[in-house]
Amino acid sequence: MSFRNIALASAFGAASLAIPSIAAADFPSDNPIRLVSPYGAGGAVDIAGRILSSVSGEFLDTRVDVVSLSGAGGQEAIEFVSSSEPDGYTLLITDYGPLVTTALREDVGYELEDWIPLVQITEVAPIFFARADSDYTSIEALIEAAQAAPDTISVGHGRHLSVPHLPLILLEAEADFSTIHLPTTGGSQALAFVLGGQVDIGASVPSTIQGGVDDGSLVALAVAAAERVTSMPDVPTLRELGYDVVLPAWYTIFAHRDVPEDRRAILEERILAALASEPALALGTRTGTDVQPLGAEASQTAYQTTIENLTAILDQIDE
Amino acid sequence: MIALYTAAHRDVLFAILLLLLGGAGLLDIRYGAWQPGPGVGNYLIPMVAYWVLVGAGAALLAGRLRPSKTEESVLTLSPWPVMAGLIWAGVYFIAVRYVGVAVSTSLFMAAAIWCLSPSGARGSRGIGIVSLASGAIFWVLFTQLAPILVSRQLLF
Amino acid sequence: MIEFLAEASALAFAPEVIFFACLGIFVGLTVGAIPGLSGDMAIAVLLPFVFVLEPTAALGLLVGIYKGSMFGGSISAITFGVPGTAGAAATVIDGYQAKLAGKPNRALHTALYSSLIGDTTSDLILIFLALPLALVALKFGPVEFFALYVVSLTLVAALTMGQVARGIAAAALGIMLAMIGRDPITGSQRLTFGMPELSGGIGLIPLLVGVFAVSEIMVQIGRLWASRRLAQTKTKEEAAEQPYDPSKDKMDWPTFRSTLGATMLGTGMGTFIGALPGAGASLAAFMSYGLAQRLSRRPQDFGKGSLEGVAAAEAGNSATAGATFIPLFAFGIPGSATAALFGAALIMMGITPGPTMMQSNMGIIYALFIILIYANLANLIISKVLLPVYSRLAMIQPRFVLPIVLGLAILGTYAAGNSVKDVWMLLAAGVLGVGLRWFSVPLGPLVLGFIVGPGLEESLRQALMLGRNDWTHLVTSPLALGIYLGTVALLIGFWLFTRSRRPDNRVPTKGGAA
Repeated sequence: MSFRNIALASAFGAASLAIPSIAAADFPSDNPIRLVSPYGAGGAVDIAGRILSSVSGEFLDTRVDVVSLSGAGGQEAIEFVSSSEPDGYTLLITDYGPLVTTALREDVGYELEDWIPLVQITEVAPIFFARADSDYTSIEALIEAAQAAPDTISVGHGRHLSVPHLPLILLEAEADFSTIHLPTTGGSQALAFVLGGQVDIGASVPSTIQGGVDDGSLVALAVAAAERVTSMPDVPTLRELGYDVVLPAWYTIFAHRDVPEDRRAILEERILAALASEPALALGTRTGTDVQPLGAEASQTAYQTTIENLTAILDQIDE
Repeated sequence: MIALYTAAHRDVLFAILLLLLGGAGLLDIRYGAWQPGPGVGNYLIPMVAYWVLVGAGAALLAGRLRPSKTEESVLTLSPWPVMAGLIWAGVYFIAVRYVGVAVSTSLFMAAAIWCLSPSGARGSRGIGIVSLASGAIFWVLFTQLAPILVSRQLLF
Repeated sequence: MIEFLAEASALAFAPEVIFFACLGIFVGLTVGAIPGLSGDMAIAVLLPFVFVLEPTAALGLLVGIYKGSMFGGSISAITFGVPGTAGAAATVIDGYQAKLAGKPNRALHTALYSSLIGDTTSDLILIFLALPLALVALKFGPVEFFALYVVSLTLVAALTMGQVARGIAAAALGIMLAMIGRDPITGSQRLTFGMPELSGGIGLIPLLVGVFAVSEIMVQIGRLWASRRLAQTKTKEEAAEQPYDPSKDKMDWPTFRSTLGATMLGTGMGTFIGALPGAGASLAAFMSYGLAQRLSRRPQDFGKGSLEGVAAAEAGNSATAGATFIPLFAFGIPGSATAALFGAALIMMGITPGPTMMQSNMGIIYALFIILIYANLANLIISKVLLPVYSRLAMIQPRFVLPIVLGLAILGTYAAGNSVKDVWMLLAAGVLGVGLRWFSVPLGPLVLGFIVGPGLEESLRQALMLGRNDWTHLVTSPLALGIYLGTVALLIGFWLFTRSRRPDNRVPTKGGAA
């Protein structure tokens, strides 16, 4: 071999040693990112995650897989993410139910501070609804009837102390009436029971009842959010009606605290860009998800506020 | 060792187990820590189930008090092969986690088939071929296909 | 309407769509046959293909997987005694016994044809009668669901004549196993005995595969071992080890005709239960099985390899396939995990499942209907090619098959949940199964009790909450009353029927009902 060849070979050799360290700097592109959801596949949280995964190639340079681990009331998903390598490739996407409510009610294997919100994808408003031919087509009518005959009107509200249930509890406390709270397996069963006349009122989120409202078989009474829902602009907020019940639920992507800060920053930046893109917003509209991404700081504030609110509510009802 | 017990003995034993289990359960509901909840508590169905167990146990005993004259077939089973099978299964799983699918499967299948074969058939090449083939197929199935289908960083 | 049909046909019969549907069927058959892996898992993972492929091609793929996995589970149930999917649980009972009796080919073909009939009928009902059936399904509230669950347990627990007490005990045991973990209404923990591993409850797959398959394998290992050591063997294994003669096990018209009644029964029951949100394919299969036995001319064959039993269970299971979409398409209510997945796929395509879906998306929805129907045919063709292979596989000597199937069950269960404790639960369930067999306790009621337990509890507590703790509320609904009375009448009729037949019936039974 001539000197020239040896020199070239050495240069290549040195360069190839340098390449791994360059590759290591390309954080997300080595492996697919897994977004773990504590809810069943096909639900609203799942779909929010899939919006991100549809644009992930361009913005994150890697695939984003939505993995649904709904066992143990959603705790399986949380445990899975906590026990995974904190390298930023395994993230949690959830609303506050499995993460916060359960942690406040029982001993779980983590602290609420262990979870750092990266990006809040959207916010959903709990909504009360009834069948179109019901006697209670407005909140006022409902409250009046319930006060006249306490514990006779039934409200199907998803799981016990879930996202739609808590606003109901708050509303009853504030307006001083009481109804029969019927726990159901979820929003779909609440919808089924309302349509079938098994319960008088339902409480769920807008995506569950959009179809029914659009075709006139359901009427939405009020939302427990700060502003009206864009897809149902005629539905008043409870605040407008004079009841200060605002308890929206966010769908947020969390990373475990042990994930290095620089990786969290990269993820936040790229995910925000991805969700603000045209295709993501269009997909959001198509799927009925109001994509309004918030960065880490704003998400953290929302997270903290929710924890405080929930702690207060749960103390109030003694759980 | 062939099982010694008749159907009647077994039924009585089972009935006693049911009564014990149902009774223990009912005591647990009475004295144990059961969380309250909305509406009827969450002890309701367990309580009903325990009562059913007690009732079924009693009915079974009552049925056996009248001697039955008909022949009944019961399962004859030696416990040792069953235990050996369970131990094999447990050790196989542990081996798969530490040594890998292909190797463990081939070895363990070979061992199992060898044990189960009558002495005449033990030396045949068939055992070797089947073991290696199953090792290969399991490897393809669980390290290549399954991760794609189940989409988690799996297994081995 | 005609122009929509033309558009829909063009979409549905595109070569790409047909290709993906067949691919889906292959994937489904494979996944369904592996114990522990289910079609739903594959569908969930492949959902992103909705973004990548043409909408109809993606739907074709998902439909193919769905149909393929249903039948794949049944193939595994009959061939190896392993219920590959929960819906195949009732098929194992008679299907595997049929194979042991030397008729795997007839059992597999019975399963195939009754699945086909059930599935296609259910798809046609989805297409033409979705709304009326959905409105009936809506009438089912907590009181009616409770009645349904109670009745299903009663039917199945009392299946084996002369063993009613044991059957009921098994059902209660199954319900208790389902209670371990979290209570469905409040989510609080229960019966975990301080073990955090139990806080998630016992998984359906470890229990199902363990109780049916692992215990069966253990029992057969015991028998094989014993027969090895005895000089004279007069056990059933002799018969099984004899060379299998396929020519004696052909499916023929008289055999098929004898199972047709059971198939029709299963189809009706399966379609109805499939349309009830939350009820489930296993429930449909077990109820069809139970009902078929009550109405059969040869009830004593059930549990010993009756092809009617296989036909009823399979038709019941498969008839939920189309019906499960009824609440989704009519009202946007996903009645099963699969429906939720398809709902998600539709949402990702911009179609909101529900009342407004039909008007705005007729082309694609009708294309989906067409795909549902022809996927059945594709499944038939592909399976007809595979079945002889499986029949041969089924009759390979047990000493080869048993360890391999056990290994498959273990790894499949692990792969399904990626959790080590699932495998230990699998083995524990196997021990439970062996114990139950030793006590001559039927396994079907245990599994059904486990499957139905959460729904039973939830509906009871919901009903009591609505009725304000008044137990008579449970019989105030005419529909529920009808269900209870109908079942009582059926059971009484059956009891009288078997009593009158007993002199002719050579199978000895204990006197009385317990």
